[in-house]
Amino acid sequence: MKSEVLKKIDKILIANRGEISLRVMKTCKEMGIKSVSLFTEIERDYPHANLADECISLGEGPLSETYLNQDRIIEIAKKCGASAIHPGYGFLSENSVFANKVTSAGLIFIGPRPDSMELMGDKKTSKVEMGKISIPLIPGYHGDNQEDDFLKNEADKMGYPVLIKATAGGGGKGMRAVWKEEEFIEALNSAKREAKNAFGNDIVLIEKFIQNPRHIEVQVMSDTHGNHLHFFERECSIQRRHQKVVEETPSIALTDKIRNDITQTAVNIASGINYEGAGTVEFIMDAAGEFFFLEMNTRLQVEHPITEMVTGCDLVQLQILAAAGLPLPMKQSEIKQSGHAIEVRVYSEDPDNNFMPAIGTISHVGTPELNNVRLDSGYVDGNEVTINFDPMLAKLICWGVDRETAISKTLHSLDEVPFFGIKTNRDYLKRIVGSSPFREGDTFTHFVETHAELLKNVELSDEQKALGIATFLLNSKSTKASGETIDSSWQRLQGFRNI
Amino acid sequence: MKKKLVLNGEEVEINVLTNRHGQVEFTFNGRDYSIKANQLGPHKTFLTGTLNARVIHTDHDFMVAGKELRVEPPNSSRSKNRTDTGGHMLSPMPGKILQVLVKVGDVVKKGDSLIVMEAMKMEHTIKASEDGVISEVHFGEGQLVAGGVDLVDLNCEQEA
Repeated sequence: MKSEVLKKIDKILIANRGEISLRVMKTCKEMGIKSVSLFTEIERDYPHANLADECISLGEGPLSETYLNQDRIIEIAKKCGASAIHPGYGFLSENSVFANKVTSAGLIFIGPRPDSMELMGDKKTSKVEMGKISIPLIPGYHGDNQEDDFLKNEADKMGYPVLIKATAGGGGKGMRAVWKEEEFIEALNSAKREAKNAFGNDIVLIEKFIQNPRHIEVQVMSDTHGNHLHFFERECSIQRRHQKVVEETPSIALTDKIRNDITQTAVNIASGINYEGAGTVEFIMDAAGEFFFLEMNTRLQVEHPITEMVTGCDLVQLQILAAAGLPLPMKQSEIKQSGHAIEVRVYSEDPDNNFMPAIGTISHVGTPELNNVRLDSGYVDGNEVTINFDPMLAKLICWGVDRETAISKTLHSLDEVPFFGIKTNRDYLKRIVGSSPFREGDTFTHFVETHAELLKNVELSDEQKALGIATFLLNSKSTKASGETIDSSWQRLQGFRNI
Repeated sequence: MKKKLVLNGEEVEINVLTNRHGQVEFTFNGRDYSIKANQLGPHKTFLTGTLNARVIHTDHDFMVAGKELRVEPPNSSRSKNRTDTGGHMLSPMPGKILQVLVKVGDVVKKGDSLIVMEAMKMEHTIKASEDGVISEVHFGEGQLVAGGVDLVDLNCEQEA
């Protein structure tokens, strides 16, 4: 298998940065494939700029001239003799123009075919296509008939509650949730008035209102031989401003029956569009376990490691095998979920000050020490966090035999990665994962807004303060009552001040 | 020996009795503490004694029993209270002004949104720190600003 891959792909250029560049590099090393990383001048000291077999500078300048400069990246790939390009996530990963250019240049793009990216890249057309192959969509009426009775009839058909939304809407204006049939007409008129005033247009759409929805997604992987496999679900309900914050697998909201249905639906989508490579099908699921297609992401996801933890599969390796035109080396029945994995995303931001982004120099990252815990970090001690890139510093991924163990390992491990020198959401992540609604599995997409009070910082106790004072005193040159300066025992140790 | 320290920006007073050979004894808030350090690595120590805890540390930053603490001697430049800006709303970091929501003379309440700016690809709202009247707006929409600069001035001593 290995030599078969190497005949096709013996050197990969990674068109990304930070933790995902390092992640792809790792699999390259395991497979005996040479890796080429890219970096910009301000990232010279970052690990991804140093740890590949070849590290090439993109110089300085805006993203359009560096990580998003398609022609330049392809030129570098050709020049250094790479046979394939891995785009990571973000940046050019879902850019069909780039994928086409890579292929035209005689290189392999590690990702799906451009036509799949285009189809799934458009939220509207993808839903129409999915409807054609009988994939469940959120029931709704998006048409031109705006007569009161007609709209009410549509709402009655979907069943209450429903959501009335102004098509020109935004910021909640012209939006009404309707809980009972008899309240529909009044809410419709009020929404239309509001929309007319706010947007000068009172066209509305009606959608079924999903209460306390969960975000459930399914990892799929397809090869060029018509094999479409799924690697089970991930629940990513804990989000803030549509940014995922905590992800886990398995989802405790799925019964065996729902799991079977939702994963089969995802596989049907992959085979229905003759997909190739790694993809994620996102669904929204209501309290009754009914799920609806949202979108498909045609790339490796940020949260892929939790799937790797419970299935034991290296998803980047499978991407590379599929891109090399080889069949996936397993059958669906051989892929099993074992234990429970949780990922928390460490962001450079201050949760206690309106989530203001933070910049500065990381003096010490720390190392998680428990078994089956992964810290996928783009930063090491001494690196500066600037405003130029995404505020995600690292992902902490903890595996445990069950959910409770995964939770306690996450709480423990977060204490081992302080990311000193910069404000982070580390403590906030602990508040979420340690909260009783999270522990009870009562998760939904508005979790952090609903539980804002519960997730507030708590004051330090006197004992915590005393421990801080003790640490400071033990760590500093101090004076005896006589005024004589003495060294603390810590200072006899070498390497203490290694920043 | 009485000693003042700044703990997460707040001044505290302690009485240090001894501090040698990795053993410290002090009084804080009416309680005596005797704590010993067992160092396990350049950044890691176990504290034992009155309280037991695992500590990860650099010079001033400590992770103690899962809480981050910064302890400094008083008057060190970094321990200045940075929240009192005397009616000046400062930019928290370099970024771009997206929206200016107030003009000179506007009466605002504490917590009202004044300016929306973008930094690190995310939006942030600068809010009024006190009730008052806007006396100056230093930037317009679309302008780039550095970190720590004065964005909006607020006159807080307005009589009704």
